[in-house]
Amino acid sequence: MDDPKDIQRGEDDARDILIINAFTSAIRERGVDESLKTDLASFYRAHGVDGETLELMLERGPRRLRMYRQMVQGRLRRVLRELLPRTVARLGKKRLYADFADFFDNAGSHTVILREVPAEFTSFCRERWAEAEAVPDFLSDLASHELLSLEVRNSLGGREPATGLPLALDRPLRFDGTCRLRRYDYAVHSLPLDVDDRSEPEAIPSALLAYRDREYAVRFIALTQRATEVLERLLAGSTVVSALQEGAIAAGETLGDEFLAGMTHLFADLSERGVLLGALPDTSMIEADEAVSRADG
Amino acid sequence: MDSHPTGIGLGLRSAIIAEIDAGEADGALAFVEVSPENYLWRGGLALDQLARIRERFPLLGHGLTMNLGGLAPFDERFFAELKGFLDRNPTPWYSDHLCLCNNGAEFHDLLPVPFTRSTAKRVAARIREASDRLERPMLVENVSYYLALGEIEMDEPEFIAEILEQADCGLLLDVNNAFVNAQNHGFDPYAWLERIPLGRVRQLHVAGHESWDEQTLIDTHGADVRDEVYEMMAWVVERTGPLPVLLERDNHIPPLADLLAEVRKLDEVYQRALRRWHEGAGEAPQEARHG
Repeated sequence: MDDPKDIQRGEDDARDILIINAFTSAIRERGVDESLKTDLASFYRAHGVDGETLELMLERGPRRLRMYRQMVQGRLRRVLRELLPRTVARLGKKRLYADFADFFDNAGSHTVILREVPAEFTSFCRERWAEAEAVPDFLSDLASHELLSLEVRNSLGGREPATGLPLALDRPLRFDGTCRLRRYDYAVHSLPLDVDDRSEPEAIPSALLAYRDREYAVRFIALTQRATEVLERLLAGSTVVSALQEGAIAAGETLGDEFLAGMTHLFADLSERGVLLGALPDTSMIEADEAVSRADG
Repeated sequence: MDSHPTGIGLGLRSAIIAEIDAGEADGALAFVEVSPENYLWRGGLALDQLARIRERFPLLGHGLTMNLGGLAPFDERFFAELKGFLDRNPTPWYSDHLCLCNNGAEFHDLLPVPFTRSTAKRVAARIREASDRLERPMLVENVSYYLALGEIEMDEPEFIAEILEQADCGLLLDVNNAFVNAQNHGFDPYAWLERIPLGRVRQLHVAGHESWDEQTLIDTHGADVRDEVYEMMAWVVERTGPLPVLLERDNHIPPLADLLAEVRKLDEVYQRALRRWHEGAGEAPQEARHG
């Protein structure tokens, strides 16, 4: 037989859960602000709040409930304005409010890290931006570019030691841990930083290598197509020879002297910048040495 | 909790971290308080600055997102990362808020919880669990709340005392939050303080607040500390003795020099209160009660 105390506790928990759910729905649900103001009782009843709890919440009225809604949503929109300034400025206030309201209601944030909310918001919005005539086609790329800057500035890693090994065709390479390669359909990296600027980027496929330098500044290198194809493969862990061979094919070029000279120049530039840190050691040799040591031991 | 700083400290914020890193607050602060959420899963400048600053100041850790009032189980990944951070940046305790931060999604804010026995029991269990997971003592902070949720089975002092007792933890007493709540809900802040178990207070927060509208103060940490809040801080210190007292500033952050001037002013009030504590052996003079 159930203990009456347990039953009472369960009922108390359920009552707390109902009011918490109603409260957070009032903050989060799209389009309920007007009904909070004009028909608070219906809002609470729709969320299962009734009886004495309902009477108490009606006595307290909608003013501070709506204040919480404005406070929470306003704070998150401010974070978007701060961390995606040019994207948000081009969206405009009306569109930002609508997109944010849908994001907050349908997806919401699932990170405790405030600086990650813009990436969550952008991820939610990309499809709808692509379908919306009023949103410029390049906006998704611009958001990606602003997020790239944020990601590289705060990324773990960076300042890894050079391997001390010269580049070798049969070895993969070590890059600084903050390196990121991104491709865009528009040259959004060329847009002015001014948030009031409304110029449009050229619709040309672009690729950037971003990294954090030794003074913590985020740097971007605009890449040619051949450099993009080769670096993308090297960053994924390919050996130099594979990256060159496959990169040349992907770029529609011949792996000839001119191609190799271009890549030599690129590797030298990246080494000078502290981005390319040498060849990775041959792990098969290390594993073989370790096996010998174990056998000796 | 054997060794901890006492006196006035500042919260480490991006607006002032470079100057603190450059030594501009050396000798002026008893400690700095760090919110790990600003550093978790993060590299780069801020983390390197923190590494240097922790060599020069004692750290106190203060979280914003633990969701002690929440309904869902704790996030394993978050706790693992947080524990790693605290192991690398040791603090005598870890504090977070008596509030809800997540209910199906993160709100990135400090939302109220119902003042009920069942909530007190749930929150206390979560505090104990958090303390076990982090392998260090927990403090919990009273929050500003603008709307009470549902039936008030216990008033806030009773609710807080019940949680502290059940969780056997310390209190980070935010006197500005108590002041804001007193104004917004119409009670005497000193009557409220008298019912708080001061023996469990391990740290104080003071901050400034602003008006949301004519009827509501809001805890923005965006203005200078008001005299009434200084007086409440002094009232507590007269009764508790030395404590770490944090000046919180998160919005409209002035230049560091201005913040340090406010720290000095706060320290003067704190030192006077400490003298009264020494003189009275913990008993405050009556005339100090309402400033």
